[in-house]
Amino acid sequence: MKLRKEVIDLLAAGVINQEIAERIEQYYQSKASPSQNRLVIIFGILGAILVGLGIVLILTYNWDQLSRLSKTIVAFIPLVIGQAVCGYTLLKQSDSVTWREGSSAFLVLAIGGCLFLVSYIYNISGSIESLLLAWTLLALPVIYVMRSSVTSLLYLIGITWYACEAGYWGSETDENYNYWGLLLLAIPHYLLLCKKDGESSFTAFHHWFIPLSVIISLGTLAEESEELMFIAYMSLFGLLYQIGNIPFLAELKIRNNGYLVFGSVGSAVLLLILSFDGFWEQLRRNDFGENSWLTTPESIAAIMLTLSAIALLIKRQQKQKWKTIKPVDLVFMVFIGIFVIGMQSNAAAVLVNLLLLIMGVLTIREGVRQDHFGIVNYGLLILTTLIICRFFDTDIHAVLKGLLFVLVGFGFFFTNYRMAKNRNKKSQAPTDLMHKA
Amino acid sequence: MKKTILLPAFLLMVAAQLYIPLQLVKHSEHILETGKVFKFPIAPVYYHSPAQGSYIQLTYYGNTIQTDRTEDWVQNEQVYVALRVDSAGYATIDSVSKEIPSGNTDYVNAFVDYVIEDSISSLVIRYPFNRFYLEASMKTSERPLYTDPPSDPTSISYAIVTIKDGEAIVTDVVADGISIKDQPQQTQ
Repeated sequence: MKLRKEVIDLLAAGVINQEIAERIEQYYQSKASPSQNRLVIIFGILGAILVGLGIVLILTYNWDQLSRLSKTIVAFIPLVIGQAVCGYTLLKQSDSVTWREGSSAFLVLAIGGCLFLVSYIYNISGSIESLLLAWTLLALPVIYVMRSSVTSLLYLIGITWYACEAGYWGSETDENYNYWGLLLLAIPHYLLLCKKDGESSFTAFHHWFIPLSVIISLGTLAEESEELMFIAYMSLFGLLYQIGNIPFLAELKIRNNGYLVFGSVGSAVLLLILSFDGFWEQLRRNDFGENSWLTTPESIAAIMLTLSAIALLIKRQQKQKWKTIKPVDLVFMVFIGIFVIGMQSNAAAVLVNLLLLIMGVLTIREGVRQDHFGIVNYGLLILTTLIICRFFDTDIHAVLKGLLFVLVGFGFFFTNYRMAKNRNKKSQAPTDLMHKA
Repeated sequence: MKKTILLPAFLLMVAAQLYIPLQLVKHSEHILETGKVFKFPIAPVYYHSPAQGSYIQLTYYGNTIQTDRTEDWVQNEQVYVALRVDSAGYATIDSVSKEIPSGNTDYVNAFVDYVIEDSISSLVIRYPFNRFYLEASMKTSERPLYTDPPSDPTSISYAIVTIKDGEAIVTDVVADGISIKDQPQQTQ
């Protein structure tokens, strides 16, 4: 409205003519539409979910008085409504993202509702895993038939929940690799989304959901040689970091690049955990039989992830100079060396501390080089957390501890101040030149 | 995707989404109609979770059987429990095997919960039908009754379970001689 008023004023003052006024208005209208569309999509999806939940609540009112047959029919009603709405969308509204995403979200929830209600009505024995597996498999075609990214995100949540039930919380199965197959089934949609709609919010959400789901689920592979999972996790973070640096993803803002953030932060957090001597003590006590190294799921996962991360790193560096290599790039490989040393020697914890220190310092340097406040403070945060961690297992005098904190605090302040000053100088320079000219 | 492929794909998807839960209903009805009813002595304990609602956790008595060869059994492996009815009319374990019992033996699918290795070694069996969901109206009135399991193993609390080809459905829980379905009226 404000713009419209400005245009009218300019028109009245004779600054612009009628044709230009119309073109300005058209331009801003076309520019405003994506954000408005996004809001419509978000509220469409939220509305569908709320309507779905509301219908289930209304239908289950007086549930106790219903016969088993009536309850069963009621359980199917939201599912049939969801399918009908999806059918209508496909026939009449297939070009509307709001309709496609909203009706798909409703249908996915209705499938789950139907399965759980039937299971509840009949007191069907067994764990929640089988229900979750059925739910995710029945929701999978919705992703492709309805071209629905919300369904893809719900599917990722569903398979992660399934992996947790089967691998962490369940007690009826020892080994379960179904998750990895289920994850692969969702990848074609993700790749298509990246190709066709690389900068959309849905794609950005996928860049976070997929690595997070893999991080959560990787631990389900742990069996008897759990210590080896630390190598697997470190290599996974290395691999995620490499994926985050693929040109298509590297061009994104950091907040849209979950791979990069999880890869870097995950490596730092894992190293901080392993900077305590407790884990290494336990590792030295363990007797790794010769066979356990290569035949356990943990070691297979570790080897595959390490090789994948190395392959991506080499591929990336072939196109760039090796000088451009970043500290986090190499952490997973260095860690394998430390792990091997740690099996025999008590120097591992010291080496991990050293690695973290180098990582923190090099991250700060990288941040200064890029003139990026976020990266600088991330490096400082690594160093600060390392110092705090050492206070837990190092007998240092309280005054010294206090002084160290003051020093780190000054470090934060001074670095940020210097960077802000440099940035001001740089922005001032072109203005001065203009004045001189 | 073209509409010529999309519509048949959609219809297939709809059919699968209806078929699976309908099969679940059909299968459960088949068990209830043709299965054999057993009474399993239990210690009923009331639970409530926001995600799963109110339910009774069924802890079974008599879920242990002696064994000579503990090394044959692995924790969490699936087993088949052959059942018989004791003099009091309750289901009791006749034998446990890794193969489906032959003939007309009544059996139920279960898991090895754990193996006790002692002077008398035994297997502890875990039945998968260990929950009975309560109606919404039972939420508050039943809570005091089932907070603690009864200390007397000969308590008359039991679960009524219909079994067919190893699969089981709990149809009712009877505590102190009264069906759980009739208890709200009594306690309210």
